[in-house]
Amino acid sequence: MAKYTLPKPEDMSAVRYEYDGKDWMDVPVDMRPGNWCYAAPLKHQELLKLPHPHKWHPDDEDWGLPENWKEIILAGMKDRLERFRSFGLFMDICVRCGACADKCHFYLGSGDPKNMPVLRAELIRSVYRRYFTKAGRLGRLAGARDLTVDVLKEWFYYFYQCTECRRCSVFCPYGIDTAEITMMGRELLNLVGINIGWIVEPVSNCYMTGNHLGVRPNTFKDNIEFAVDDLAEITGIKVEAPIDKRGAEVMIVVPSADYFAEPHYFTFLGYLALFHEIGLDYTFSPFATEGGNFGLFFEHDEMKRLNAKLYQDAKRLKVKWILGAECGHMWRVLHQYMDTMNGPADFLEVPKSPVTGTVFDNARSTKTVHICEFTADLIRHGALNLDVSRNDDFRVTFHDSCNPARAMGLFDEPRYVMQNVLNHFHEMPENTIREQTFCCAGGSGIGSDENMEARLRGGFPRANAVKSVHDEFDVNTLACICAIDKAVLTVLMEYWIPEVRVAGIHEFVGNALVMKGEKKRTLNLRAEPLPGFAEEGEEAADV
Amino acid sequence: MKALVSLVFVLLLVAIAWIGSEAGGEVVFGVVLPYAAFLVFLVGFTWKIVKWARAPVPFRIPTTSGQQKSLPWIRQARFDNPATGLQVVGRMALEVLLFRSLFQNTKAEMRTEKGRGPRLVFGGDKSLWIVSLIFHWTFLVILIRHLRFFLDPVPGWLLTLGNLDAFFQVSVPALYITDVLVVLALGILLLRRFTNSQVRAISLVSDYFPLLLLLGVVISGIVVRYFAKTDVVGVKELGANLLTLRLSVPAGIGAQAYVHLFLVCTLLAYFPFSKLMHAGGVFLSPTRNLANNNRMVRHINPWNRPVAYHRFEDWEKEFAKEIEDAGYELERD
Amino acid sequence: MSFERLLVERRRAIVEDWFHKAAETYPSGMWNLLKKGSNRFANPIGGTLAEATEALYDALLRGADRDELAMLLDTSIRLRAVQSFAPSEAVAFVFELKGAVRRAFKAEIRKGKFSSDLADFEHRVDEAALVAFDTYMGCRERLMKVRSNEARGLTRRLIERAGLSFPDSPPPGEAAPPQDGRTRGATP
Repeated sequence: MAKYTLPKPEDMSAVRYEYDGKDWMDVPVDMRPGNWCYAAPLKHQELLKLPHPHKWHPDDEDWGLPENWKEIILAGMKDRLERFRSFGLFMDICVRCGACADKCHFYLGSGDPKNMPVLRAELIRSVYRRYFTKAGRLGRLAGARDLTVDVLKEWFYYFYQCTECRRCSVFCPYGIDTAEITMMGRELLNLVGINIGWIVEPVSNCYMTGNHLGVRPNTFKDNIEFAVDDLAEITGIKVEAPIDKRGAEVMIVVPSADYFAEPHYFTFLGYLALFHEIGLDYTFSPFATEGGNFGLFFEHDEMKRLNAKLYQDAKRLKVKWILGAECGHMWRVLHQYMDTMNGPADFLEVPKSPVTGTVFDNARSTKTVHICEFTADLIRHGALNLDVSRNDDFRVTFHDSCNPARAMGLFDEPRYVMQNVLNHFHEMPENTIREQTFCCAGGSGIGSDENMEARLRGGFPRANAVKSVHDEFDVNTLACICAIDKAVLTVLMEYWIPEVRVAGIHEFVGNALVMKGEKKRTLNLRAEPLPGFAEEGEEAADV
Repeated sequence: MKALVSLVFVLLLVAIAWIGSEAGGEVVFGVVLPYAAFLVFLVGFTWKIVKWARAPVPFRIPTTSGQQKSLPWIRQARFDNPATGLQVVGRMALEVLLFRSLFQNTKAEMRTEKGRGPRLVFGGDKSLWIVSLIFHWTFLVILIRHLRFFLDPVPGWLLTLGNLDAFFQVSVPALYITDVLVVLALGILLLRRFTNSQVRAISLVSDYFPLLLLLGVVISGIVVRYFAKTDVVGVKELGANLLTLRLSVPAGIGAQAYVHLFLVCTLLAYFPFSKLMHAGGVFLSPTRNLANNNRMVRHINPWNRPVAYHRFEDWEKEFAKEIEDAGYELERD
Repeated sequence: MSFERLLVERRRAIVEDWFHKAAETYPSGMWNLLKKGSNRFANPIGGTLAEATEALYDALLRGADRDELAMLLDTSIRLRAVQSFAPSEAVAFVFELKGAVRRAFKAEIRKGKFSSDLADFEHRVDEAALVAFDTYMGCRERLMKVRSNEARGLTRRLIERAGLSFPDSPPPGEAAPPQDGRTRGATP
């Protein structure tokens, strides 16, 4: 008799865990690699003076929690229930109607029921009921359960598998916002020293140096100068890109990826071209070299301290108002948190376009205008000379980035800009755009490399919608106005639809913009030949 | 299992009321418990609302489901992305009266089309919306109809409402349309907790119990009205007594009526401590009841707490070499 | 009646049986949700699988070529490649069709009928499984590629400006062709 037999296919595919008929509370989390992010390096935890800094790894059995971790978490919950109406309310009023269930991209991509927004919230609600309601003593009967280390691990796994995109909250009849619950969950975990490197490290860099990657002041300047040179090669015009120009009218805030990462960089060149052409009197801040704010992704206080730099340096630079570039979560902070946290911005003036004279009354308190609003206004007033045909190689669809979509309502401004700088624009299917847009699955600080599999399956609904316009209209470019999107969607497309690449809107603007005194343009901002300018040799090489 | 537990609870309640009232507990079931339940409801409801309202709303976080108000030539979605208080009232009214968010519900499905692999498509799904809407509205009408047990004489509008409800005049006493609809709606809401696998997976005892309790209330009411008819005059008298604080129980009210009354009392007392409080909570939901005017008007956080900043001066010192290298002047006042 | 005709006739039962077995490979937190027949589409993973099994079955009956099989398998395999399955688990569901067919032909098999037809059909299933495996491997290789490209895309400019370079950094737009047969978006 053979000692070993080959496993039969049925055995190979047999049920790995015994789930059938079990309640979700009885299904422990399975921490498989590829589905979570690494812990934050000790150095950065300490630098930010985060609670209980320690070395740990999600794969370890022992996470090195403080001895009284349970008291800390419960006290933290109590504190937050008292400070945030949203938290207490969202703990109490869910009726589990299931409307949110199939709205989450992570659920749609994984099929894991705990990725349904309602269950993600129940992970913490069950603990809330146990310790903060009278009925909680009944345990299961009241939907309550004890707070254990396993529950904590489950929180970590699933609250870092939510991108805080708010899609579920659009459909909830009571407006329950899982993003809000996830934020609380992450804050609680942070209290016992559980946080992730992909968030804490950028926050720490941003805090100390001014941007996520820790690009130092001189390197920052070099980067801007490189961009000016690159743009000059394409347009023949050496633009000015002032840094630290005191008394300029406008301070521009960009996500740092714009000045070094691809494809962000091409959008950045677009801004530089645009500002030069309209003669905008602007400046970069040498101190606040990051618009992004990863503090949003794990701690309200961290968000506040990073965000403070913007108003601080706007004040020092004596600018009149702030122009915010293409970045999703940066705009959630600028729009919904900045004024409350670090305002009032009474040292600034109500934004007014120096070119068209339009007063941005909708930004009269924060004094901060979105670049799509700004450019849409320019185009509307015919302030730009545009050669749309230069973008003819781009067959474009638009991904509404979650934060400008569902935490702001910026829908028609970017579309208006695109319709005026592009000939080929096609919308993705209804129910996957505008307020129902699907997340890139790498937002909220989980766009890390080690988390790749979770990202790629969470991005399935988005990729799927892009695929349908790719199949139907031969779309080859996915436009967006978010720096995280530009990074994450690039990867998502490479995996799901390699024929589609990612671009920012101001890249198209920069391409189409006919600049006074420019040389005959043969290259787009990617330094690729414009339509009709492909050289013989290159074409041959491409085939 | 969870549903079974809930069913047992409800049946137990029925038994208690039946046996209790038969065994001479009319005063308890007819007077004491209704008052107690009503009191618990009032106090509980208020307590809960106060509890929520006492927690501040530190940030203005509306979920924006439509175009913002920005440039004058861009059409704003006033009710999906309100910018003023009045528009918020509009949004809330649509939400509370017509369940607008549920109306927009979708369903994800995989479909294969010729020449393509399977792909996800999203269709509208109005089923939950219509059923919920029917349930809530019919329940409200039924509630209002019951006022006739407390008011003497019954005001004309109430009679009209009853007549409208009994428009079809099918049986004696005339069948109320709302009675049929409410049973149907509750039945479907219960059924989907079994048949929809997603909803089944998330359902708790505290989801089945209120549904079954409501069904119990409705069915016992129907029984009292159409089948094991009870003395309406006696019931009216009891109603009038309760309203005027006269603590006496008229004779001739059958056990079946006490069962109905007791289930209603249970519902009232249970209400403030259950998910049914969504009725009050929805008005407080910060993602719905705030205007998206964040950049127009500063929102104040009452506990806006101080944090440690990395000061400009420190940064300047730490990066002195690099700053010099870059040639920044870094002027300030 | 011929084997082929019977396969068409018993399609419903076979595909159903196959789907249920295939769904069992999807336990990671899904309990028995997938198998619920009436609303399997409510769960898109179940939907993908249901669609894939049905379409694949028909394609196998038609004697579809590898390209068509690959197209039909693409979405489910591409998804399974990032759903924490072991390689064998990711493609095993294809093999389950054999069992489903054998169960549907229990009576005939006992009588010794259709043995060569059955062998033929199972050979086709094996071929589909191989296609699935190719696709799976292509996806995994792409995944690795994507990971390294991401890091490169984000930092290439910074590193180059620092006078350094990636050891094996190909010039932009000339990344090595992916292994799963697809071509990278042609850079114009």
